[in-house]
Amino acid sequence: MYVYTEFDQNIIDERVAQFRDQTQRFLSGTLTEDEFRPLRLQNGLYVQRYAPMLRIAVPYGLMNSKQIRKIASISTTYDRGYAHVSTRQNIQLNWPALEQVPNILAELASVQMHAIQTSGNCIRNTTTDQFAGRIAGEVTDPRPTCEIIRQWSTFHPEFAFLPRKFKIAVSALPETDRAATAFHDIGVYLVRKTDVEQSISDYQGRLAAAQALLPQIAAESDADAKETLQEQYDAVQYSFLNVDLVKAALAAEPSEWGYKIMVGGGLGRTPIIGSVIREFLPREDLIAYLEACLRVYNLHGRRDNKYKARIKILVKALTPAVFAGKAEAEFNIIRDELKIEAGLYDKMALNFVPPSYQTLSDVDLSAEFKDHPAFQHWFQINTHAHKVPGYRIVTISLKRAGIAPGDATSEELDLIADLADQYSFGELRTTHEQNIVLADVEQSKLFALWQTLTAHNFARAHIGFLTDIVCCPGGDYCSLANAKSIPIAEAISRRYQDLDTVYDIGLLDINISGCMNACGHHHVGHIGILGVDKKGDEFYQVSLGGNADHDASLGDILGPSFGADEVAGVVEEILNTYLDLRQTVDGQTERFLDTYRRIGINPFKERVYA
Amino acid sequence: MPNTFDTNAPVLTNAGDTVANTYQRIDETGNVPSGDVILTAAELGHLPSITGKKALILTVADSPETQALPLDQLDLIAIHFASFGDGRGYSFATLLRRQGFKGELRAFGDVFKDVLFYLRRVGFDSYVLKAGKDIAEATPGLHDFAAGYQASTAEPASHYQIGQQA
Repeated sequence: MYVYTEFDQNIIDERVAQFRDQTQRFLSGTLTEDEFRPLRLQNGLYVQRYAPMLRIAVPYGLMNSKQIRKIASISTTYDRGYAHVSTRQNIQLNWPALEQVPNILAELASVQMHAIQTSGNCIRNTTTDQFAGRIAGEVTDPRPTCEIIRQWSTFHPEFAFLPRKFKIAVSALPETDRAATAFHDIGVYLVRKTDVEQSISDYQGRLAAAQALLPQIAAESDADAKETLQEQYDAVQYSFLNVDLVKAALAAEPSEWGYKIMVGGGLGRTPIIGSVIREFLPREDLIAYLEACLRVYNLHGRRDNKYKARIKILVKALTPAVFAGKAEAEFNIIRDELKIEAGLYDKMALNFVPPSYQTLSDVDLSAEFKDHPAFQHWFQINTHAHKVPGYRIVTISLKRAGIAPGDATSEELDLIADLADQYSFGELRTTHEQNIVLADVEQSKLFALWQTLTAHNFARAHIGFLTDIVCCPGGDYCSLANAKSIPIAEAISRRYQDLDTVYDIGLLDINISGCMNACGHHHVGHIGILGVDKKGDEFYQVSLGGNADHDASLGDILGPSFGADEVAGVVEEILNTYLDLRQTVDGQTERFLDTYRRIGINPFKERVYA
Repeated sequence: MPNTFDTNAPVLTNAGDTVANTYQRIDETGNVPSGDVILTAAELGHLPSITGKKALILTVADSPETQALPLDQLDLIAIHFASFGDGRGYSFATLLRRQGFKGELRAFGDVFKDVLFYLRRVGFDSYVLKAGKDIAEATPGLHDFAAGYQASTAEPASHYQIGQQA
């Protein structure tokens, strides 16, 4: 992983001193509450329902064992002995004292950690796939790109006071998107030049076929029918942007890959899937292009209404094409001066070279599977194929009955650090589904690791299944929340303790947010649950059909909301409806999402509100 | 915070010095005093009548992106920050420098210690702190950080790090 230079270390040490000074001035009264609030937020410090909450940055989810041990010790010394993995791959402390935060930051700085820009109206922590660099099929490892974006966005002097928060995600895997990239203010996709060339050729084929519509459009006398045909044609025409520009960009990129840029996605109050504004961008232009997008947003994003201040509202108001035009114009002016210097990518990539793997073959675990069916389930569900033979990626489940999703105690964090040292080259990753990943485990050691994880309640074999619930801290901790979210997750989990039932239901994302800020990503849960306030009482709105993967979709609201004690029953009725109506084709049982997409919301509505 | 330019307020410079403001406002009847004068965008018609140095107050309503300003005639542009959380003034500064403005860029309004480093990096030269803030306490804020990663007006070279190479 990236190891700080003296330059990097100086910056975070200076940040500790700066924040210590700000805290002291706030406590002595020379910095007012209104002045201190945005400053502390830019350092991840919220004042919450019961105590401050400190959000610690985990750049693109990557940590080493020394860092997680430091989190454990900070939790013991300054907090209540546990920490929480957030839905942005960060780590949160729920009970630090304001006066102690500068000391906590100093401790974090000693292991190259900080809380910079984990909140506030600035560029937040860049996120990516938690399996980055370890899976087959990636265009290339996205982490050098993430690190370049981290450095560019850290204390960027022009973009510290944007209209609203700004989140960037990076995706390098064409098949799967584990980072919900399309729902970010900017989505950066690594793309192969050959794939882009294929897209151009496909597009030109579609466009040629659509030419047949033109005489029909001209001949059509009915205005409505004419409009429908025109829309069909336009959909094809605008399904790829600016072929000439893209061809020039492809020619300008000497390597095999570059970027595609999507802008204006987001969750929150107004969930929107982002729009592609650049089909291909040479690697050396990434910073200039991001800077151009941010400048357009800083100048034109709405500042009169915080609910309309995200870039998604600007992009929608201008239309993606007009936003792209403004960004391109700005980009053309600053392009030369902000070019990423030749060689930076290659040098950055050296921080992410693979660990010293042994030459191994894949291991036959069938004997262990036979003796321990639970191990087999765990292997199939909580581990993932590694691109290097003989290794496997392991997800440690932080979704335990009776424990808030994503929470782990100091002792557990220390244990995880030990396991990272013992089994995974001392590194680990946090995931936006609020679990922890050991990315480089030898297959021959999986059984021993599973036994340890099982002994410590970390091995529930349900990653990606219904009880692996994504959940914000909710009304138990967060002062923004309309409703509690953790007890809802708990009630659902309690109903589905039987793993056979869980497996029968299959892969299912249940996402719970305590308010429409959507930290629990409820819009993109296959089943989404949103806490709403009705005259002071806590109610829950249920949506179906959301999806955060490349074929992204937003959930549809089922109907009137439910009381807290009804939600688990409603989820069960939804799932029973699915079980009754799902199809099996060629031995493949339809996933919940596919059944939903096939039959729509009405069958679910009829059963739930019967 | 209203965009009244306090002609009596001391001015902090990037060098860390405190200097007196020399710019005067035109009076209510529109008379242009002799010496250095600062105008609002609406008053730019008075520019030829100024005998001393010429300055302009820029608010968020006067974006240099959408209007041409007489940059080559101006000695100073004072960008107003109605609230420090409104960061448009930072992009205004960047645009003005790019458009060739070589004079003094001054920030005033909701300006205090904790924004000085950012303001300096995007090209500001001087600052009028908001009423009640102590200049001596604020001055070190100009250098809260010794350097930044990214290129900016004040530091056109970027300093991207490549980590401790294995």
